[in-house]
Amino acid sequence: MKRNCLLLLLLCFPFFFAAPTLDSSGSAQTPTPAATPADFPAEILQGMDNFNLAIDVYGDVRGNFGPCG
Amino acid sequence: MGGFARRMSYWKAFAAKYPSRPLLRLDGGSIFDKGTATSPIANRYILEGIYRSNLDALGMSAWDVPVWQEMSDLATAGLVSRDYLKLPLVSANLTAKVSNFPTMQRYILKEFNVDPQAGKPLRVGITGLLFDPEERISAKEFQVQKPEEAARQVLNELKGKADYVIVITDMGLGDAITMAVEVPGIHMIVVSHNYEAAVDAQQVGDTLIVSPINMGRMLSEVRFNIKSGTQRLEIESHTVPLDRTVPDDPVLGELVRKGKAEVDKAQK
Repeated sequence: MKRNCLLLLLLCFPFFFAAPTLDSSGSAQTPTPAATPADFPAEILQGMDNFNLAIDVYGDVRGNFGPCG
Repeated sequence: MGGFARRMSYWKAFAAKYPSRPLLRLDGGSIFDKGTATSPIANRYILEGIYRSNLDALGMSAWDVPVWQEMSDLATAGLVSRDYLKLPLVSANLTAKVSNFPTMQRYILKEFNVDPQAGKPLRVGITGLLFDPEERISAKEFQVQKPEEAARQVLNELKGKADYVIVITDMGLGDAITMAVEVPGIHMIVVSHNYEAAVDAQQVGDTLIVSPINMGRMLSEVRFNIKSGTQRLEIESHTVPLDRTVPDDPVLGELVRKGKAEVDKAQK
C-alpha cells in the first residue's frame, strides 16, 4: 500500500510542481485570457478633461512586443 | 504588461472617447531585441507592429541602428515588406553613410487647430537625438553628431516653423536634465527609457521631461489645454498602465501571438 502511494506521488509530482510558462523574454508568466473590447477599463482613460491636445509617449518595447505578464 | 496590442487598444478607446481631440503618438525607440538567438525572428514582428501602430514619430537608440540595417537588407531581399520601413524615423544627429538604412527626417512638423480664437494652428516640431556615449555605432558607416550641438542646430532650423518643440532621445534622465538646462528652447524631452525609477513628468525650466515606463509596460500621457499659442498652457501628465485588464487590439494581438509562437518554436 505504502509502495503504491509512493508511486502515485512520484507520478503526480510533475503536475504539482509544473513550471510556469516562459515568455519570449524569458520571464515567467501565467497565461491569462485576454480581456475583450467590451471589458475595456474605462478608468484608464480618465484624466484632465478640458484638454485640446494629448501626447502619448512610449519606448523601449524591445522583447516585450507582446505583453510580459 | 505593455505591448503593441494593448497600446493600440488604448489608442482606439481614446479616439472613441475623445473623437475631436488630437493625439500625438510618439515612440522613443529602443524597439529592437538584440543579442539572443531568436532576436531576428522577434525583430521582424516588432517592425511590423511598429508599422501598424500609425506613429507620428519614432526615435532610435544605438542598439536599434544595426538592426535597422538588417531590416533594410531583409527588405531588399524581399523577406520583409519594404512598406514597413516607411516610418516617421527622426534624428537630428545621425547621418547614414550607407545605403542600407531607412529614410530618416531631421524633424517632423505637425499642425493642430487647438484654439479657434488663436486664428492659427499650433505648430509642433518633433526631432530626435541619438545618444551613443560608448561609440557603439560604426563611424565608418554613420556619422553621429554630439547631441547638444545637433539640438542647437535643429532648434535654429525650427525657428519660425514650430511653436512647440519636442526632442525624442534615449539618453538617461540625468543627461536629459542637463540638456534641458544647457539648450534652452526645447519644450518637451521624451526619454525613451529610464531604468532608475518610474518618475512623473518633470518640469526643468521651460522644458517638460517625460519618460514612459521601460520595456514598454506603460504609456505616459500628457494632456494640454492650450490657449493663444503656447503662452497659456495647462498641463496634466499621467501614466497609462497597459496591464492584463486592457484587451488586445484584434489585428495587433494576432500579430503578437504569431510572433511569440514563432519565437517559442525556435527556442524548442
